[in-house]
Amino acid sequence: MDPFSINGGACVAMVGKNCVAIACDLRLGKQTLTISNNYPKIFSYGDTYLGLTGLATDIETVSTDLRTKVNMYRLREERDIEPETFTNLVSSYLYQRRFGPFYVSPVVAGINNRTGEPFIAAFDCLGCTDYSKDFVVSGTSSNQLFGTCESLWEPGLEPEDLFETISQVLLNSMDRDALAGWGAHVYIITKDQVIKRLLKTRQD
Amino acid sequence: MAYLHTANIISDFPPSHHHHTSAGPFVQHQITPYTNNGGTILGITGEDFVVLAGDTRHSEGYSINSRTEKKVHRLGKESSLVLATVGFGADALDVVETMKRAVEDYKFHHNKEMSPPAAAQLLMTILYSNRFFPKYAYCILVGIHAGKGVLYSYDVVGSYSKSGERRAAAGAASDLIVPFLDNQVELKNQYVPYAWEEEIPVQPLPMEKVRRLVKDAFTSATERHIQVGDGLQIITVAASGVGWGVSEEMYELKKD
Amino acid sequence: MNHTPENWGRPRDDIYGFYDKSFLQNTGGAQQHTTRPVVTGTSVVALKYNGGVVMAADNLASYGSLARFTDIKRIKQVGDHTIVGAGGDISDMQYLFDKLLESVLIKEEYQNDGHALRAPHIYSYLARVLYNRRCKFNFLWNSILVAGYDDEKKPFLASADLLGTRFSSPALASGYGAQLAIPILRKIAPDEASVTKITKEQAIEAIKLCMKVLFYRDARSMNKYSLAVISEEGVDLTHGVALENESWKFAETVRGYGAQTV
Repeated sequence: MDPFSINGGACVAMVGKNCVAIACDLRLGKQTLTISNNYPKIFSYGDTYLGLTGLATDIETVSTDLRTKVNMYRLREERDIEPETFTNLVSSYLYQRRFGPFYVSPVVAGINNRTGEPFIAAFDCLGCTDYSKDFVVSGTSSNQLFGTCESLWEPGLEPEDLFETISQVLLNSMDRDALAGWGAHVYIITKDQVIKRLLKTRQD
Repeated sequence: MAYLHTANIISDFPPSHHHHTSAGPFVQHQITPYTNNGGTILGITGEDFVVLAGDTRHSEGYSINSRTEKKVHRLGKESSLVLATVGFGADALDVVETMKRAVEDYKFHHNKEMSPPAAAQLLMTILYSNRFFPKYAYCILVGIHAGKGVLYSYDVVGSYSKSGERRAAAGAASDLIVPFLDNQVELKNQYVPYAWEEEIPVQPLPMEKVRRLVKDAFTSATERHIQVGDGLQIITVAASGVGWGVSEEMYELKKD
Repeated sequence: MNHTPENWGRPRDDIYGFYDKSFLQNTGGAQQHTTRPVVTGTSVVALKYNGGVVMAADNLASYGSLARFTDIKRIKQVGDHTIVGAGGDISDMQYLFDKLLESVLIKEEYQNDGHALRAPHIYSYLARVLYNRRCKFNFLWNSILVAGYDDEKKPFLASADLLGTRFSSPALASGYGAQLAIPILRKIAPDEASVTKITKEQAIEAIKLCMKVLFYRDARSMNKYSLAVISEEGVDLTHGVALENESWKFAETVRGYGAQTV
């Protein structure tokens, strides 16, 4: 009945050395019944990435609303939105619904185009921003993700090591969550390329 | 308005003297026979040893009752059995005391130590005999049986696996620790590089590696769980080799 | 009509009136349990020092918000080197102190074997009584602190409550004391090692400060208390100690509750 755990899902973002990573599972469920095993929860807005877990209908609304807003930003500014700016946008957008919130827990990851600094952030459903220098998590597996992140992550990981770390974190966390899993997407973002990988996972 | 007034009179009839919600001179508060005292326990077996650990924070709500309350207990001076319990502190201690007495009685009666499989089934019986007023205590029982480290873990009504387990975690931060153990002890999701889909075989871990994993698990849990911290008690039971017997180490954890 | 089995074949209440059960000796009704504390005592605070333990509890027994009795002794000496302090329901406390502990002491005296019950034994007994009663769903509505010496003659201090929850620490306090006194006491006694550096005088001073702070902020407290000091010489238990050096100057800065509007 809790809107945050009807559909299930997991998302995590991490900072590495001149890179960031963001990953999500692919399950969409209706309580314990799995509806789809191809429901990605990461959306790209230029070079900034947004992960959304929570109520699927609100994931759709929030991701498309933000698409409109980012497009409008791009038309006005004639440039891509920076992750920091996007974070403020997400925050103020969610707070507009302070007394009738979207049931989503967003995660932002990207590299600042001007400074080259990796950036990650997470929010609660009201838009309270949690800036982080290491990792952020969201979804029904957040406890498991916190535990694995806290023990597997270390500072200064190179892109390939960061990929291994975030993959192990996500895989082992969602294997202990009945509401998440069924495939995963991982994005490794560096200054000049983004690598998207599809992970083969347990199908239970 | 008149309509609403009539509805109120009907709903007030017959006048109720019990079940005050908010109004009335007495606020009826319901007492529960349980409380949650937080904390986490964790056990890992090796080839010929077993490690059982627990933090030493004892809390209730946002208050820390004590920073030095141990959760891991030896069941006898000569016995290899060690029991750790978390959940409701009073029930947890009661289970430990019941087990200690049983182990002592067993020795008086049979002139030998109770074996871990026997203790394991006894613990199940104790927990299940309280099936309809459960002891709110999650238990992990370890010992040395036939030269090997064995570990059993239980839910509050006594479910356990007779064949034992390689590792277990219970309590407040078990959510955080269990997937880490899956990965590092059971080597879940780990594959031989470039040999596609070939899993890395699981093998017993050396004692130093086990101790390191235990400390890592608890420092991580301390970082992200408010009920875990203050101190870490690690009891190692070794069947042979260096450090034979039962030894206890204490480590500091963050106190915030 | 009441169709429950116990009413089968009985005269109807609405015609003949309620059945008079007064001649039955509590067999007519269900077993009565305490469902809430009635006359209550507030916090008990205690601190270990390098030669013993200091404990204090005020002399008030409240009936709701009414300050009902102002000369209640909530700390009891048990044997030569043990004291017990209790908060919560006063009648349950008096049952523990005057019935249970007294009979335990008398039984122990009759043995006349040179052995005396020390603080850990008294504590173990009381915690077990409290836990047994909670298992019967018939709570003794108290939170107690037991202080004294253990079998190695080291200072002992531990706590137990109505659920049978047990724990021990260099500084303990029940009720509001857990919120207001513990931070003060833990500052000088953060761990067992620091206890060896605390003198009796320092401990008494800290406990007195705690009683003052509790009187300032706990509306169910009073400015007269029992103070117990356990040392090698035995128990020095004084009732009716007056609060010293209280200053309500800080109250001038508190806004929004009283008559002032700005």
